[in-house]
Amino acid sequence: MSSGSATLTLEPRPAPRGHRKAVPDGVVAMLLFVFAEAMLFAGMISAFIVVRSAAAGQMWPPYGQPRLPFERTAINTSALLVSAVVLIVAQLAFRRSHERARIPLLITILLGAFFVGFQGMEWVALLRQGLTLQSSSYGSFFYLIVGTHAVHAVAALGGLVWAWTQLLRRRLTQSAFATVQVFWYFVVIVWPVIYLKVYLS
Amino acid sequence: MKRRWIPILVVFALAALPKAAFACSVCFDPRDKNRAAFVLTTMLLTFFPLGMVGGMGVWLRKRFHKVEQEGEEETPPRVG
Repeated sequence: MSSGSATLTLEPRPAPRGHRKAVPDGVVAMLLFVFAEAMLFAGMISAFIVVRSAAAGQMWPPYGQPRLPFERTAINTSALLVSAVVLIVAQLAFRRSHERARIPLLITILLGAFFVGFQGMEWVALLRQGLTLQSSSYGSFFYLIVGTHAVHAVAALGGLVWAWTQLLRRRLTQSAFATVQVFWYFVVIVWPVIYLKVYLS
Repeated sequence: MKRRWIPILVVFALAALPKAAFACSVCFDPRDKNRAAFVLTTMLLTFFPLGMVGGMGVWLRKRFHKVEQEGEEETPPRVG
């Protein structure tokens, strides 16, 4: 029986010698996603700038609306910027050994969680002071822009937590880590622009 | 041959006919600050995506060149 039969086995074609990807697929995909999201923020901030410039009597914030707490938010901004620096340290440590990246990555997650938690507390305080989505265009834009950023921060934080759990199981790959990093750096880079344009305007 | 120019002249004539759209706040807002905001945001939304895509293209090109060079350095020389 076996003399006349031929078996066909499908095996993946081996990569050519010396073949290496210039950029991981995940990073390219994340960059494209980040570009789209950057345009979303650019559009919202542009609309905010135009509405602010057309404000009645050039009064901004509008009459009866609370001023945004930019002094307290500076602490929050610092925490977010430091988290990006610590994530760079985690990346450098990851290249040498997985164990060394654990603590810097955990610190990044804690700083990110601090940022999100602090923002939540700030929102509660502002809502008590009367700044709501319906109170004015000022409130609408504030919650829209900062809220959209918060959604991205929570999603990126989820990515970092996932990376950390994978790191503990020794399953985290360089490309997956780089992909998560791109998202977090995006969240960090967008925030100072929001802080300057929305809080300090 | 001369008739070929007629449609082009008609198009130019039609383009010159309409009056400026006074509803356009970019062009005719009396407040300088508002007009400046429109110009600034228009520039931002025009050049920002071009900059991002262009920047990514340059970065990818550099990455590919670097990987190619590393590949050439790793390839052993042919013998015989």
